Amino acid sequence: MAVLTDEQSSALTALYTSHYRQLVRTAAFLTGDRDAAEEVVQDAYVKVHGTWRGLRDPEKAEAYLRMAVVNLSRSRLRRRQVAAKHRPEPMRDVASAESYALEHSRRDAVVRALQQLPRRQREAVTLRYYGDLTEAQTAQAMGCSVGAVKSHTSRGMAALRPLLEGER
Amino acid sequence: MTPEDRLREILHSHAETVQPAGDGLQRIQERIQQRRPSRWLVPAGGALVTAALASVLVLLVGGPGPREVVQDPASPVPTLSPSPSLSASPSPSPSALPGTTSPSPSPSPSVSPSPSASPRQGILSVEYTGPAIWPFRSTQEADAWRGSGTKPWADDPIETARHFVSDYLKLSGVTASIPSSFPAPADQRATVQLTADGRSVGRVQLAAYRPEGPWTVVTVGGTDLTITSPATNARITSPQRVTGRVTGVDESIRLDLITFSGLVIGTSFAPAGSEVPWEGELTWTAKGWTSGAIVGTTRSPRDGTTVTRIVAVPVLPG
Repeated sequence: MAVLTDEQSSALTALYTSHYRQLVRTAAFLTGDRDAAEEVVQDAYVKVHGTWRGLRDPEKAEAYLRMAVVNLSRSRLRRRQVAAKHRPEPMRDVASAESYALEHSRRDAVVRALQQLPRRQREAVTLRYYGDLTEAQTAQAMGCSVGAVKSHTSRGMAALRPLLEGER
Repeated sequence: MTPEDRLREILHSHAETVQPAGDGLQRIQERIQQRRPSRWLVPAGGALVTAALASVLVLLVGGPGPREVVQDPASPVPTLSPSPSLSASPSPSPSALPGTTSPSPSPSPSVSPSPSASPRQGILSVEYTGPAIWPFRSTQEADAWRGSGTKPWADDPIETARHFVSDYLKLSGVTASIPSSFPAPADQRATVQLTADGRSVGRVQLAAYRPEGPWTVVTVGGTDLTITSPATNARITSPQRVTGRVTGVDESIRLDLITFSGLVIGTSFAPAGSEVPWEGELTWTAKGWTSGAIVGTTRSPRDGTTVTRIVAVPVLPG
């Protein structure tokens, strides 16, 4: 069994601490499956570590991780859709107090609508508005052009806008 | 509050409800530690070991299994094929390489196990033995590079692609960036996106001679500009007819024959139209070159200089 060097181990820990939680949440939006999200992100860390030695370069490693998460989420969705022939379920909220039920219901509607978007629109909207990535960073992560990101984001927002405006 | 701001607020609020388990780091570390030896290194000798390695390679080739598929299906890359000596079944057919539509009769791109030339004694490692353009063409060259102090960037596929563009193709205004599809590390292959003026102009397909590198460029493709003939690693003689396809209207394709050392020994232009195969002819007088690439490029009609597409296939002198 191979052993991680001290340098690798500390780089991995730093990368984990700084990005893991947000990547899991991003993957949860992309896959609509919280359990799968964590597996996807762990896969991404393993791949990044193995391929690029990118742990030595935090900036590269972060970009690689994002891309791996997007690609692995796609693979996960494809596999699930083929196998189960069902659409991704929206994330289930943890139990919330009744007083917040209505607000949660409205927010859930937006999240559900997000997850009903075509895959690329969902990815673009999630990376732009949850990941707070620039258009260029989003394009890198999705493996497409900035123009395509603009287009996917615009279409996604057009679909969500009625819900968001009605929600105010 | 704009709809965009409202969406941000909702997504961040909703994400707070997703709490990863606390053992993520431990699980990642365990998987990294378990992964390496089982995928790459096995003790030499013994039929069972050989069979196990063959099985691993069959999985790498793409057989059914739980392996995640993250390779862009539009970007087939060099096939990993088990050595005939390790598998009774025939090697899979080579995938069509990007930028080409006809597989070469010459040796297919492959990664095969070899007990020789391994940096570690007494173990088998997996090595790439397929076609290559630059900066290496063989395991011998790759092994000679290690410890030579030259090309320190060659263990990074993105840096290798960048140097390929600047040092070999000598193209300006073209940027190599994060791969368009994240490669599976065990595949020893990678795709790096080339962009110019913010638009994709091609994808560089790379292969690593060994799991730890170095990387070499195999082909460039990924756009609608393709070279259908000559095939990958074909032996060519002057004058050489070059054919391909492109979907643009009234394109002029620049064709260059570039030797391994980066010398352009033949240049011509081929007119092309939408959906009509294009055809050009390369002539050269240089002798003594040992390998090279036919490189096709198109330029923006706006300024005539900005590269809009790149395709490259490795060739050998006839």
